[in-house]
Amino acid sequence: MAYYLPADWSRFFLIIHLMVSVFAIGSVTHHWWLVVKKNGSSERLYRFAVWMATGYTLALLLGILIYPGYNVLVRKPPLGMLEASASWAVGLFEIKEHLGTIALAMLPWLVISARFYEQLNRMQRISYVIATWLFTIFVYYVFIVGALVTIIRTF
Amino acid sequence: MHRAVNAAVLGLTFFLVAYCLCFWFGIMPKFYPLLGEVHFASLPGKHITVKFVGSAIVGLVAGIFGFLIGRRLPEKTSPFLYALFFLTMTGACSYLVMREVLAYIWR
Repeated sequence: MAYYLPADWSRFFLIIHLMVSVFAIGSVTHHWWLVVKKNGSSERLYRFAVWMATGYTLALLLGILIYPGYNVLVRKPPLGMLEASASWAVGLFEIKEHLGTIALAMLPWLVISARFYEQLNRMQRISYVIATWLFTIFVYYVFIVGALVTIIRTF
Repeated sequence: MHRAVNAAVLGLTFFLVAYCLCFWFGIMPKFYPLLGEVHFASLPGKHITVKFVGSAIVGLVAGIFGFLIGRRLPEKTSPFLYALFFLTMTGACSYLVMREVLAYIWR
C-alpha cells in the first residue's frame, strides 16, 4: 500500500489546490479588509469569515492529499531532488506547513468573534483584530511560499 | 463579553502546546504501530503523513478539550487567557520557525 498519490494525480490535485487557494486568499483578504476598515456589520463579517473558513479548510485538505507524494517524489532522495538542490526552499516550505496548521486552529476563534462581534468587549475586539492580522499574514506566507516552492521544483 | 470566544482562545492555546510537544519530543513515531507494520523502504510517504497529520490531529483533540474547559471558566479569567495565548503563540511560532531554519536554511 502506497501512502502517496502517483505523479499524474498529484499534479491534478495540485492545480485544484491552487484554484481553491486563490478563492481562500480572496475571502481572507476581504475579511481582513472589513476588520481593518471597521466598516462591516457583524452579519457581513460573519459571512466572509465562513467563506474564509470553508475555502481555507478545503485548500488545506487538498494540500494534505498531495503532501506525502510531494515528499517522496519531489523533496526527499532517492526520487526527490529538492532537499539536495535547494534545502533553503524545504525550510521555507516546512515553516509554511507549521503556520498553515496554526492558521487552521485559529479559524474557530475568528468565526466565533465575527458571529458575536456586537457582543464582544473592548479587549476581545482588539484581540480579534490582532488575530485577524496574524491569520492574514500566515495565509499570505503560505500562499506565496507554496507558489515559490512549486516554481522551483514540482511533480 | 462572549464566553465562546474565550473558549476558542483557550482551545487554540492547548492546540499550540500539544502540536509543539509532538514535534519537540518526537511523540508521533510512537503511534506508527497503530497504523500497521512500519517499513520505511516499502511504504514511502508514511512517515511524513503520520508526522504532520498526526501532530495536527493530536493538537486538535487537545484544542477541543481546551474549548470545553474554556466555556466553563468565569469571565474574569479573560485577561489571563489572552495573555497566556499571546505568550504561547510567540513561543510556539519562535520554536517552530527556528527549528526549520536550523534544520534546513542555516545548515
